[in-house]
Amino acid sequence: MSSVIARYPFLRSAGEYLRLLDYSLDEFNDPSMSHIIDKASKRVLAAINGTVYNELSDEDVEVVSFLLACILVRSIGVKSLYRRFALYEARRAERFLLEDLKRDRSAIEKILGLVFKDVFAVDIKYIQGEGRFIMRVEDYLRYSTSFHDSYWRLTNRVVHRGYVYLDARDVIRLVRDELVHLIMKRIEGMRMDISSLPEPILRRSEGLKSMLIQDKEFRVERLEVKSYPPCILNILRTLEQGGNPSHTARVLLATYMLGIGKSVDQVCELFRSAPDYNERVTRYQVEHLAGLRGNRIVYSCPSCEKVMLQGLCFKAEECDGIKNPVQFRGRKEEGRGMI
Amino acid sequence: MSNQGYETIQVVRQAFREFYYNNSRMLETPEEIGTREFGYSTFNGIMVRHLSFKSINELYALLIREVPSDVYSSAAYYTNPTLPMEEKGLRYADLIFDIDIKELNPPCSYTHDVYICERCSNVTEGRVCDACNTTAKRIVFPCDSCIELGKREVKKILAILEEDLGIDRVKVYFSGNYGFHIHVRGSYLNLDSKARSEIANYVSAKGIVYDILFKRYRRGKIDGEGNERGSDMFILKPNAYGWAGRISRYIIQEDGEGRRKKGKEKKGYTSKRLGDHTLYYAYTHAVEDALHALSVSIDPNVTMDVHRIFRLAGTLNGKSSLAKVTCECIDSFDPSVDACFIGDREVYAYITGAPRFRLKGNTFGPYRQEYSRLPLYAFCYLACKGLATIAKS
Repeated sequence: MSSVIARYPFLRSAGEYLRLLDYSLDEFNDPSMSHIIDKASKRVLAAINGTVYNELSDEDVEVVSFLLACILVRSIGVKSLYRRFALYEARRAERFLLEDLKRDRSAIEKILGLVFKDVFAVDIKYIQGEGRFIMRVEDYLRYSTSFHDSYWRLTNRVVHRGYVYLDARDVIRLVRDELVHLIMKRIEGMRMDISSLPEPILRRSEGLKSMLIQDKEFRVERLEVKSYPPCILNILRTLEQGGNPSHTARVLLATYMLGIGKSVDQVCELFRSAPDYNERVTRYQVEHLAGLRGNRIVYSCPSCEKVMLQGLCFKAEECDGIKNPVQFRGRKEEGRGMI
Repeated sequence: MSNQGYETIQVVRQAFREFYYNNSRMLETPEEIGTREFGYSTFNGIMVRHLSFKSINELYALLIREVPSDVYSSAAYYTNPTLPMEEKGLRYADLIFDIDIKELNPPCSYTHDVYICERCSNVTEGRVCDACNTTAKRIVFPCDSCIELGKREVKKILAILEEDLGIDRVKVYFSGNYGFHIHVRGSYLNLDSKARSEIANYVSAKGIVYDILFKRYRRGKIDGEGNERGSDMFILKPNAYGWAGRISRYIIQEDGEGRRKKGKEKKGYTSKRLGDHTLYYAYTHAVEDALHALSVSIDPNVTMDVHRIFRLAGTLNGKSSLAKVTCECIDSFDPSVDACFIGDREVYAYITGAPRFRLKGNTFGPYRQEYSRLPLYAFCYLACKGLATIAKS
């Protein structure tokens, strides 16, 4: 049980364990607790840098540092970080799940009960002889309909007597978004007076906040400077809110960003928060659009007319007279110069 | 029906009233009737929606009083069924499939369907009115082979629902005109439109990616550069569940039959050693054939739309005067007998045009601009299709 809650500190049983430990926030004023604050801030830092925090220590440290990391994220108060942190914590849990779902039957069934049934209220059964999992079609559809890839369409799955057959990777991928939502909800639901947090926590929170602003200049810019056309802003907002833009919307965003001179790295970074994000696939596709792969054709941003036909146009007054979203930026800058 | 003339409408309306009066037991009470939205259309073409009834008796009283041409009930269960759509409060909805025989393009349809001009009521052979040169409306006269086509689709969908989706509680209805409705009972209620669309695509096998279902691979030698040379292969999985198994079994069976009939009836892909491995294009061709034979033709919009209202079982269809009835045994079901409940008294009618058709075991027609004495059920059948009016004897 203890190692399970160390791996999955968002579980209900982890909350009960935390209550048993009976920690008080004031205890973090004690220098002997600094290792937990360090661990918590490393967790947050990993999310800021877009990496999965891989260290795993005993359950006390893991459970408390997870809670403290949530407190740090909440105290920083940048909404986009809530999702980002939740996403990377979910990825961390995914890694553990992948290991756990390949263990023996009793370990697998324990995880299925503790994580999938208790947290997500989804009943998944393990078929020992085949090493596969089955999930009710209704449950499967609840998760899979938000994915665009044909791989997830019911027609392309093995379906029998009301159950969909899945491998461990599929099972985990299906609930990833739910897990992100769960962690985000925990952070958003935290009620606390930030000024009353212990000094060491506050100091760490300030440090992380300044890092976030410096390191992620690109992200802050795209949210705060309204120099993007409404069609692009809409896709960015969808991504920021954890939405799942369509393939055509993603192509529009990528070609637009490449068109205004962003690098492949910067464009890939934009898709990190997409629920079906896969770094390798995203990079390949963005490089393909930039003419670095495949047929070496540089794809230009679709015209406003095409964007409108694709249902992605949110025309505003400032769009008047432009024929391609790329022209919007120039128009804004011209306007600024005239004033 | 609204442009048929007062007297014709009154005769049909009276026939409908007699049906409801004599067959109240046929009227099916939807589950949780108080949460359903009801609607009906009048013989004047007016549609009334957003109604609610606490009991089937309340609805029955309306049928006798108003005598609608068509009566509908929602697939959805609402908190407030009488409020406007956005305020109704959707709780859940039945999963329903609609098989429209017209969409199956029966090869015999040109032999019995007629076209009627909506402007001059002229019955024409083709889609354009001979008299006023406008597009004419198609009036269907399903024959036995059309109904058989529909039944074949029903059997296919029932097998898929049971074997793949684990749905064994279903009710099959004849729609009252030219199709079948399949209502799923007690499961798959909480699906949203997207999930319903997935189910619709599943039964009609839309969006199948062959490479995912049959794991394509290359068989051949590895060349000097480390690339595999050779043909792409499909792996047939006759023992697999779902579409992969169904398609594989069909291909293998067809291939076997093809071999047996070798020399007589040669199939495109039988000569390609399908039981083993063969060229990718041959498999693609074989899978397409299998999908054509195995997929079910349904109207996906009907399944997806949770707010749609459906013809209520046990009521008459205003396009044919036949009833929407349960098909207890799909093989022996004959709509011309099992769904025809209008009375037998004779009426004198003018018939603009109609092919030969069969009702209650009797054959009528063909008619072309002529007066004739008809039993009421045959008259109503033609009048509902806009092809007959009451004449003075």
